[in-house]
Amino acid sequence: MRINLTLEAILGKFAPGPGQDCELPRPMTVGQLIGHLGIPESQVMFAIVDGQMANLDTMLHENASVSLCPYICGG
Amino acid sequence: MPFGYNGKILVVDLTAGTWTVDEHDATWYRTYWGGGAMASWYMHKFIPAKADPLGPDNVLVFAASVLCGCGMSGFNRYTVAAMNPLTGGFGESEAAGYFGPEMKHAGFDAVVFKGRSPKPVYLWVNKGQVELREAGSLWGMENAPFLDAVREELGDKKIRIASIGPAGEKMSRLACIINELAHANGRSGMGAVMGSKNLKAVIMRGEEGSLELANPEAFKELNLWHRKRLGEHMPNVGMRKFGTVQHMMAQQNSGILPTRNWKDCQFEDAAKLGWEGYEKVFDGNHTCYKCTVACKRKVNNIAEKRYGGPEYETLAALGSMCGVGDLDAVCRGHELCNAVGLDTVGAGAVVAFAMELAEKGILSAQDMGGRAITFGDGPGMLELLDKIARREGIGDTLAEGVKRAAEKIGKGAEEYAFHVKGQEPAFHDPRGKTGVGLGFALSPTGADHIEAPHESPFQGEGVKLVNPLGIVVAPMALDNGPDKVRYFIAGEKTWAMNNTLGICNFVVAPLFALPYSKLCEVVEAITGWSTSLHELMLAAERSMVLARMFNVREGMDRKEDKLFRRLFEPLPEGPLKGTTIDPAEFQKAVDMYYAMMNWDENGIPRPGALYSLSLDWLI
Repeated sequence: MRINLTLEAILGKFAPGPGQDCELPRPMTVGQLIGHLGIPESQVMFAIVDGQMANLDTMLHENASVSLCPYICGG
Repeated sequence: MPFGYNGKILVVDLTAGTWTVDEHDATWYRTYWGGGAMASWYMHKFIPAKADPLGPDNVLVFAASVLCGCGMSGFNRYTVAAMNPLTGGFGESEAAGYFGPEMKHAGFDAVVFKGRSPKPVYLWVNKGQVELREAGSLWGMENAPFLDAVREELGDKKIRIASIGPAGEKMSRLACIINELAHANGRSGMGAVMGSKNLKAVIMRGEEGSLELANPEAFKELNLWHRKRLGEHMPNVGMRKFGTVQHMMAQQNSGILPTRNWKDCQFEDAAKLGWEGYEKVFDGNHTCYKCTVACKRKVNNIAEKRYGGPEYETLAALGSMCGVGDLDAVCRGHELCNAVGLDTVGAGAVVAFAMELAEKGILSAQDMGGRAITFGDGPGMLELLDKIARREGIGDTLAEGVKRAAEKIGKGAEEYAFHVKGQEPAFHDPRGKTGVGLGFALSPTGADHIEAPHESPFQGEGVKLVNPLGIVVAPMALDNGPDKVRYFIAGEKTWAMNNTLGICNFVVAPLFALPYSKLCEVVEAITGWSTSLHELMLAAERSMVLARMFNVREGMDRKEDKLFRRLFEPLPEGPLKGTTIDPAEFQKAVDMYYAMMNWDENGIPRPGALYSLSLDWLI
């Protein structure tokens, strides 16, 4: 299954390849994608899927546009 | 009949030991709403120009809001405001916890303190009944023993308390106010103002359910919707799991973790303070009034667990800023600060400043009480915090904050005293997110890291989250141009709105679960006022301009809207090595901000700005 993946800012170092095309071995949720990419959950603040804020259990579909954003804001 | 609020504000004259009740109409409440806006109204009316912040002419305001205490997650914040003893201008600090809702349930929307009591007292408000009680035997107590003693004295374990510790009593300008031991009105030296008034505590006991809502059924539905959404919305899920601790590694990985008094931006022991290390001492979640986010932490490595665990700002203040990677020492420092009532941000900053002075030979071992305390010295960090709280030795100088301490120490110490308007910044480096620099420079309280949401999450696809604010071009982290200033102003108003309405930044848009459309529905269900984001943003801007005009009255203008030296130097290492802020570009951004806000070239709001905000009385 193929998705279009953007890893914002410091998450870029977890990119599986040079481009935004990302091949997944099976259908998965946003939470499973984060684990699949080897990103510590504590480093991802939110995901946007097809332009909408997603949940960890949002199921990804073929050609989904996925953007993961890191924690970096303050409080 | 007011819905959501009491329509009563308690005004206490501490000099005379008397009180009156102000009753304002709905127009006044719908103009000033709560928080800093409500407090500013009293500050403008009651504080004479050029007053001594630690003298009897200063006025201390505890202000909730029309929404506070109604039972929605995160709608529990209140503001303490007064003339700021660090800056001589506007001072305010927000806290959550339980005190604000209890004040509302006890019958008052705000409490205003004037004058100075001739002897130590505390205010006791029991379901509308008011009493000033002697606190002579309680003076000098740390916050936990005080809480236990006063619960016993009043025979009521359900009272809610905002108190000062020895640091406030001794008028350290870094003193804070603590409620329920683990929540702080930390910034702006509000604890010092309270101490100057001989006021040990403000204690509330109310009646749950005392506030009438305009549409209880609609509110109930919205509340259920919000709670469900908080349980699945990713930023809230993360906040519940990790609290603000996760910011430690985020800053480190981004190359902008303030370290060793802003000298470095990478800390070799960051992982020990981040979630990886913190998880080992994590002892469960802690929360605020009826909030399901529960972002606060408890830790198991301190003696008095009720003081809670450190959040990001404290981890950076007592950790990376002091070069201390020992999480146990940082947690003990946090415990000490909450016990004696010290703002961990200001206290960490002044300890880091002293450590750099020792490193440079400006402070000697003798100056520091026997040995030179430099970066990395955990026990030394704790020793200095204790001296500051008790104003012993060098602690007496450091208790004044970095600006005044540097002036007293001399020998070039000013070179290492980092502040804006006299107030130390919290620990976010504008060289990696320039909007934070605008916040530091332009905040009416002096350097403030929560002036606007940091722009980093809104780059790329994240810009969609701020589209409802009219921001359609992503604010790039290192930009200082018009897109950044437009974003900053929109963001600044959203957080000023939260402060005015008493809402936690962690429950509402742009990042968190409650979208603006639903927020407007909540306001209507509570108050009965049909509203819009436009009206709420106007209220927010009114609060910003009220604070700015307080500073204008005190002679402040563009001269004070600046950053400190190190932020104009290149980042020395890490992924952003070499990045800096160009002073001319930054000044242009500040000037653009004035123009967009309809302020003049000196940063003074023009009459048109005041008229449009119904602030005619300030012209």
